[in-house]
Amino acid sequence: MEIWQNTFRDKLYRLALRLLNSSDDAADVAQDVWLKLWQRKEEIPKLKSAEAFAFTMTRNLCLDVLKSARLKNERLDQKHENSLKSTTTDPLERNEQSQMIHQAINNLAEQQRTVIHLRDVEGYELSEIAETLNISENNAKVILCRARQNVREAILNFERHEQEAYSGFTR
Amino acid sequence: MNKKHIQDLLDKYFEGDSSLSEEMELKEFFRKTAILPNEWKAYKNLFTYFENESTKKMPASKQAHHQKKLWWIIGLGLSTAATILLLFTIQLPSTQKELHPLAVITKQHDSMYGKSVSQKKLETKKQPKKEEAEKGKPTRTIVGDHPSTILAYESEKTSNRNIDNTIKNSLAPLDKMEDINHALQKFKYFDLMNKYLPNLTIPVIKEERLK
Repeated sequence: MEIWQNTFRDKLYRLALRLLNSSDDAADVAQDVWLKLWQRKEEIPKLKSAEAFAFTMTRNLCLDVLKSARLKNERLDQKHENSLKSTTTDPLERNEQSQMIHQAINNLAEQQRTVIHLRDVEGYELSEIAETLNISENNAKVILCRARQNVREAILNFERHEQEAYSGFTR
Repeated sequence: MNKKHIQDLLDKYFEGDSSLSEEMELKEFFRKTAILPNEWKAYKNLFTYFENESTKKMPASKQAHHQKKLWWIIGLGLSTAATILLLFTIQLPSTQKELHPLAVITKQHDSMYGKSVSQKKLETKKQPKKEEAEKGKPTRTIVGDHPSTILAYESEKTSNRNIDNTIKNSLAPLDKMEDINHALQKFKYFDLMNKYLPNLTIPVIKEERLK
């Protein structure tokens, strides 16, 4: 039970990190959601999907945080905010390739980012993801497809640039 | 695993048609296979990235982020309270009575090495008035630190008490303050004395407070 608790809290943390791009804020959000779940633990068995419920809560809190941060800093353009370099110092992300992929995913629109994260990182079924975002399953699939294709495009673009730079160098 | 099968899975993946188990298969394939055709090398990075991301843990130090903040605030509050208390314990007695002995000591000290601030002040203020009152007396010369000047000053003070009293009374609080400041300058390590030699100062404070 405790292991499940810890791994689930990590899941909440990872989703928050994906959306907020700041490990401090993400940890705060995950902790908040965790406390709220704990306070309402009697209601949880009645819910259709407790995990989806928790993810919805996390996402909403993250969106609130982003909104207030945007109001504070007058960052009106979400694209601008997303294009800010992420400040991850994780050793797993040292190499340039995974940095680039990280950037490509974090440059996606918020909905696409959430869907691709829940699917490809956390491995949830489309039905659960649809419930989290309160959209239809078909809609979730379309968003996932777009997200993956955008990421692929970004990766292939990057590769092309790399090759061009390399060939330019050798010539 | 043949290449066509993987290519099919990849196509399905990017169309969003693949199932979770098929995606697991892709992840496993890219994890285990080192030598890949060029067009798939980028995908290996993608799938390893996903696998790495899924093992990310909430940092242990961050779990106590809230508590840390709270402790920081409590610590800040305590330290400010402590400094305020410290200021009061040092300042309150010194501004009222407790520095009197110190002022006396500095006056004695000054009489040996120079004049106290209050004496200087009294003399400079007194001179014009005194000339008006009694012109017969020879004008006084202010010689810095000779004991005779102080003696002369004392005798004059007693004889001209009527004139002096008004000036003295009006200047008394100022003098006191200046003396205290003067004393404080010399005893700027007083709080350290108070701290390390508590037995020296505590009886003095008690006596003064009882009065």
